[in-house]
Amino acid sequence: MNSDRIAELYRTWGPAIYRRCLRLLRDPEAARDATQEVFRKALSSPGKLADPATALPFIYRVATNHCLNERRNAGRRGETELVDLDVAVIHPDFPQRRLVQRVLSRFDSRTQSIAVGVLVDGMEHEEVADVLGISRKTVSRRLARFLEHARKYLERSAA
Amino acid sequence: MNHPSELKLERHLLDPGRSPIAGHVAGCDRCRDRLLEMEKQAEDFRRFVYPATLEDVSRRRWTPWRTLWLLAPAAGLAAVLLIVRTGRTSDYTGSKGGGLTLTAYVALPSGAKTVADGEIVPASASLRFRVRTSQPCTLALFSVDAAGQVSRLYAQEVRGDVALPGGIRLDGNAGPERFFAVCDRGYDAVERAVREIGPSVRQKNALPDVQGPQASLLIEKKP
Repeated sequence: MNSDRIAELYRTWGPAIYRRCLRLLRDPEAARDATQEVFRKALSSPGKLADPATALPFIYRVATNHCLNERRNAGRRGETELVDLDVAVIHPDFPQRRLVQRVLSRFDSRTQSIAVGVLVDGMEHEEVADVLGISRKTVSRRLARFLEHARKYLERSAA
Repeated sequence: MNHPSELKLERHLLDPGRSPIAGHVAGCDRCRDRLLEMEKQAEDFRRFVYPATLEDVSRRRWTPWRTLWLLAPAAGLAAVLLIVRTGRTSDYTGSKGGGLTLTAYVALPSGAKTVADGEIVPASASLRFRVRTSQPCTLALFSVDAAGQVSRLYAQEVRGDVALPGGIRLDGNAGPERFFAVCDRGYDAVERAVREIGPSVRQKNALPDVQGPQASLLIEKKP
């Protein structure tokens, strides 16, 4: 792929990647760095990036995985400024308004992506399944497990 | 009330005319506010992130350029370091500070070369920058074109002779563009001063009311 085509794709999809990274990392500088990395990763599948029908869910998945990984690393380094995510949809089994890193980090990366997709992004289960390339049933099952364990963990922490 | 997810809002932004959530958005203040915020973030990307990161994004897949940039320091040593602005100019009202020099390199098919003030460069060329300061400096590097379009390219602490990381790609539009390097922590005030340069970009080579040292470089972009 030549540099003009790369520049064109970056102009097209960069804003969505940047917004996604900004939402998950909550820091413009970190989002800027992450945007570069995510776009580079996305460039390894140029076919998906070139097709408008597949590009958005694809970059959403790549950006989410990358940024959640950045958050995990930041959490390990004790960078607490990256930890809080606003909850868009108050779930009956998760009444908190913030999804904090110490809860999120107790789960595997796929479960984290599901929890963020449903609670933070307000996505329906089917939408999350579509983005992550998994079944709706898997989304429901993993989310139920996340909610149950998160509730128990928060109750233990409060006690 | 159920609101569209972030992903649905992203799809809406791509094609509002055919968006299945257009009806909801029209009657939902919260979603309209979020869309406005998303558009502002896109503008931030276009102004600040895209020009400062495109070179890096492209570089790994563009070996000849990478090789070219490896040669840039050598080219810089061989060339006379361009001290773009020294001393007081007629419209310079800031206080004197330590010296600051700004050098730009343009990547051409013939090799990396230093850019002289007012030089014509290809409108889509890639540039890299080097600054030299006599004192530790909180550097901000901005660019502004004749339409008053401002891009913040770098903001970082520098000391001594420093090649700024990455590079930028020019926007492809014809016309003058001036780069301002400033040692000043007041980024927002500096940005406002840069914006006001606008149509006078060819004439004004210094920012008023900037406390620290500054340097500028004019280029003429030609498609």
